[in-house]
Amino acid sequence: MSSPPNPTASMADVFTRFWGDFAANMSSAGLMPQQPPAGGDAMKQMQRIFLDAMSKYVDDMLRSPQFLEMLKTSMNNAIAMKRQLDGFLTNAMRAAGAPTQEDAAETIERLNSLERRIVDRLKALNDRVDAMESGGARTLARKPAAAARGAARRATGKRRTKR
Amino acid sequence: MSTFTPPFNWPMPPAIPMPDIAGFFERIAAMPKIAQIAQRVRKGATPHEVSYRDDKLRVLRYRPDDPKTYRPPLLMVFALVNRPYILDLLPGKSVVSHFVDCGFDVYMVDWGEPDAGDRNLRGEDYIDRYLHDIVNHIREMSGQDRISLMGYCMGGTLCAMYTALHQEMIRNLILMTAPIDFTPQNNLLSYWADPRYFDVDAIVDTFGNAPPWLLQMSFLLLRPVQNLVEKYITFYEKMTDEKFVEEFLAMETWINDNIPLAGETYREWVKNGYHGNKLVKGEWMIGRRFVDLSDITCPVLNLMARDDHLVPCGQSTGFNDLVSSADRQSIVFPSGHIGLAVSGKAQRDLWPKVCDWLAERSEKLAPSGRGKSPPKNSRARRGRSPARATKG
Repeated sequence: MSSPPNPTASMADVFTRFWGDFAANMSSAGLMPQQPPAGGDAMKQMQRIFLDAMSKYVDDMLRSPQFLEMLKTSMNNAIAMKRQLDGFLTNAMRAAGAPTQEDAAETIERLNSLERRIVDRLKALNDRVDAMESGGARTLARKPAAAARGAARRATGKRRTKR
Repeated sequence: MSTFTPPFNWPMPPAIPMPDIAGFFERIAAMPKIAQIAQRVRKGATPHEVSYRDDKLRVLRYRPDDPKTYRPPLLMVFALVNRPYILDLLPGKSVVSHFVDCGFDVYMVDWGEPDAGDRNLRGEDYIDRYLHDIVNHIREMSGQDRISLMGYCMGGTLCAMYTALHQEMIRNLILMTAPIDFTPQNNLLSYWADPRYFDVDAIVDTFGNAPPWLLQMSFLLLRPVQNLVEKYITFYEKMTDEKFVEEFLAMETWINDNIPLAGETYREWVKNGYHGNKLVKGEWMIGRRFVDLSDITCPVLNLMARDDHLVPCGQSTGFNDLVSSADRQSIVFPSGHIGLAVSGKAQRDLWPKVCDWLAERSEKLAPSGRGKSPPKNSRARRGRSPARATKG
C-alpha cells in the first residue's frame, strides 16, 4: 500500500527547488567570483552584483506563465471575495430596509444620464444661438415660423393662399 | 624563519569589513531630523490659484500676477492614475517652474479622485467634456484662440486624442512618455494585460473603479528589487543627507498617493489600448468620432525616456510618423519614466531645451505683458458646453 502524499514534503520540495534555482542563477550571474574583487569597495561591488542578478531573475519570473497564472488566480480570489462581501452587505441592507449599493449605483446612473441629456440639449441650443449671432438669424427664424404657419393651416383645414 | 605554504591554492575570501558602528549611530541620531523633514513635505512647490472647477477636477494657474513673456498659455495634463504634483514636486525639481520662469502662463489639471458615482466616466467624458471645457476656459481667460498642450503618460495620450479631434484649439503639442502604440514591447505591463490572464471586465464589474491598491501593486512590481529593496538600502546609506531625505520623502509621498481610476475609462484603456491597439489603427472612438492622429497638424515635440520600464520608447516613437505636422521632433532622454520630470539631469539638461522649443513656437509679448482683450463676438464661447462649472 503506498503512503499518501506528504504535503509538507511537497512544499519543502518546491521551496528547495526555488532557492536552488535562485542560487544557480546568481552564481551564473557572477555573484560567486573565483577571486575576490580588488579595491576597498568590494562589499559595494558585491552588493551591486547581487541586486542586479536578483533584478534580472525576478524580472524573468514576473514574465513566466507560472507567475501569470498565479496572478490570475489571486485576482480571481480577490474578485470572489469582493463579490461575497458585497452580497453579504446587500442582504444585510435589504433586511434592514436600507438602500443597497446597487440602488445607489442605479440612482447615480440615472442622474448621470439625465445630466448628459440636459447638457446635450443645452449645447445644441448654444450652437443655434451662435449660428444666429453669426448671421444665420433670418434663415433660422424663417423655418420655425413657417412650420408654425403650416401647422396652423392643417389644424383649421384652410388651404394655402398665394401672396 | 620558515613560511607556511598551503598544500593547494585556495582562493582567499575577502576580508570581513569592520562594521560601521559610528555611521549606524549617526543615522539613529538623524531620525528626529528626518521626522521634521517629513512633516514639512508639501504637495506642489510653485504658488498657484485655482482657476476653474468642474465636478471633482480643478485647474491650477501658476503665478497669475507675474508678467508674461509668451503666449499662448500652456496647459499641462497628467495621467488619471496619479496626482499631478509630480510635475511640481520641489523647488529645483519642478517642470512647472521652468515654464513659469520662462514667462509662460501655465495651467495644470488636477483630475481629483473619482468615487463610486464616477465609475461610468469614459474617455469621451474626459476628452470631449472636461478637457474641452478646460481648454475653452483658458481660451476665454487668455483671449487666445489656441493654447499649447502638454501631456504626461496617459495624459499625453488624452492630449494627443484631444488634439486630433480639436486641432483648431491647439497651437503646440508636447508629449512626455505617452503610450500611443500598444504593440507589446517586451515590457511587463504588456504581459500582465494579456487577456488570457487579465479579465478587465470582471475587475470593473466587481470593483467599479480600478482600485488604487491594484494600480499601486502593478507599479511596484514592475521593478520590485529597486522599489522594495534597493530604495531602502540607498535611504539607509544617505539618510544623514538632508537634501536627499527631502527629495526621498517628497517622492514617497507622491508614489503612495494613488487614486482610483474610473471603471469604464479603465476598461476602455485596457481593451482599446493593450488588447486592441486601436489608436494607431484609427479605430478608437471618442463620442461619435474615430480618433485619427493624422488630423494633428500643429508643431509636436515627443519626449521619451530611454530607460522607461512603464512606457517603453517603442510605445511612443511611432507617434511622429502618424501625425501630419510639418514641424515634429522627438527627444529620447537617458532617464526613467518619472526621472524625465524630476531627475536632476532632466531639470538641468532637458527642460530648458523644451522651454526654448516652446518659446520659438509662441508669440513673444510686449514688455508690459498685456495680451489682446477677448474679442467681442462669441469666438471664445464657440464650442463651449453650457456652464455647469464654476470659476475659481
